[in-house]
Amino acid sequence: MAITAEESQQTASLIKRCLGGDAAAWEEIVRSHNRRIYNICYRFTGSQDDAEDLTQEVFIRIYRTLKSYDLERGAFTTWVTTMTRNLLVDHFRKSKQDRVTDSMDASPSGEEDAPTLGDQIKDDKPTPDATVATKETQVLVQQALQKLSPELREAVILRDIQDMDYRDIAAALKVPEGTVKSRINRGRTELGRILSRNYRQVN
Amino acid sequence: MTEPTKNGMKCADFDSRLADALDGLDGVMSGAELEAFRAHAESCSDCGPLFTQAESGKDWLRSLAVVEPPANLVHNILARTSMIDPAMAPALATRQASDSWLARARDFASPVLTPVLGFMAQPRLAMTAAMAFFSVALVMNLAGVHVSDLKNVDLRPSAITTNASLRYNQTTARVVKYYENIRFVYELESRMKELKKDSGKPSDQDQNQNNDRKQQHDRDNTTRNPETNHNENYSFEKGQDVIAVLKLERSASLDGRQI
Ligand SMILES: [Zn+2]
Repeated sequence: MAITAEESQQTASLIKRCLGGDAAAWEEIVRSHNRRIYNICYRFTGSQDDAEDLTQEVFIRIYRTLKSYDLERGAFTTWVTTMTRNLLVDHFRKSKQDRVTDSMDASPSGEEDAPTLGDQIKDDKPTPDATVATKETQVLVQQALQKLSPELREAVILRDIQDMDYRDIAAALKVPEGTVKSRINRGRTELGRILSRNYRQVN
Repeated sequence: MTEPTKNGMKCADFDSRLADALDGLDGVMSGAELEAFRAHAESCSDCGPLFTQAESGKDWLRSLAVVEPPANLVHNILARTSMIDPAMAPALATRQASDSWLARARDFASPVLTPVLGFMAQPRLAMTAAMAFFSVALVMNLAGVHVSDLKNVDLRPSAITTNASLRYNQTTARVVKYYENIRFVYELESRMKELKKDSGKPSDQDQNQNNDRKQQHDRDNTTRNPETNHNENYSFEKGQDVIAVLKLERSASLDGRQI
């Protein structure tokens, strides 16, 4: 994500206004970042409700710690991404025990290889409509994403869905670039493997 | 993974360049490197499938559409952040301390109030103006609105609409307080309008006062630069009437109580 000088200057003045108590500036920050945060949360959790709750939590955290954001140390978007990611990790740890109830990828029995993704899709009425097929594919990819470990999941979400470059991902996750690349590789490979297996079952 | 070299590339190297090869960011890989990479993928039984899977995984991920957040998400976020305990959000909460309510009142009511406040800047007349303004406050007070509430409300027009949504979901007590604040703004506004309307048909006495003040003002202005002079004269004339009537307000309300 190439941040231009003008962009960072705009962000800087927006944050300054916000810290000065300008409610309109805060609203602008919320408006310009909520979509991105929501998407990261949704792709990570696979749940719209969780994504909504988590996005709110992220903004509460931003609101409380905005003063500590140091413009010199990196882009605001990276800072926001770190905050989002930390909350997602917390959420993942907390919900690990009751994954069966709150995660949409969990099979009804809670066992790893009860009804597969392919089986679930096959149960749906098949329609030749192209847009519906796309929707099904989206569900399929999302469910496969849910099967990745959180480290791999967040890496591919930031790279392939948010289109961040290695350096920004490394900064957001606070790991070396080499680690980022290796996680992206493993995440993509694993996802490709899961989907090629399931997609064959569907078609 | 094994360590044999195939087509001039080790499997470990292949793995480390996989992301670079697929992303092709900023030409991190030269043409020759990419060629060696592809050759290795075709000839190596370990790395070949790896490449295919990673590539399809990347394509799947990139086929995902952007999801639209719920329509009320922004509203809910603003409602929740507006409820945060001020002690926990010091930067945003201490704003009133640095930004006086008078300054913000001036921003808000600038078309109406700026002449008054500009007028107040002249020391000789500041006391009169202060008393006049105070009398408005007193009238408000009698109407059940307290000036101290002003400290907690942002009076800029942009902020007022924001605040309206920000504070929408607050506790009953806060909502009541908010509406009191808003009421103050509206009352101030309508009071000013009323005063301006009244001043449209000033009494002879008022006109005499006006002329006195105008002369005084012109004298004061001799040291100022002409450009601002013009503006301030213009606004002064507008404010003149307001002050005159405000003075009447004071004497009327003094009979009421307090001070
Ligand atoms: Zn190999």
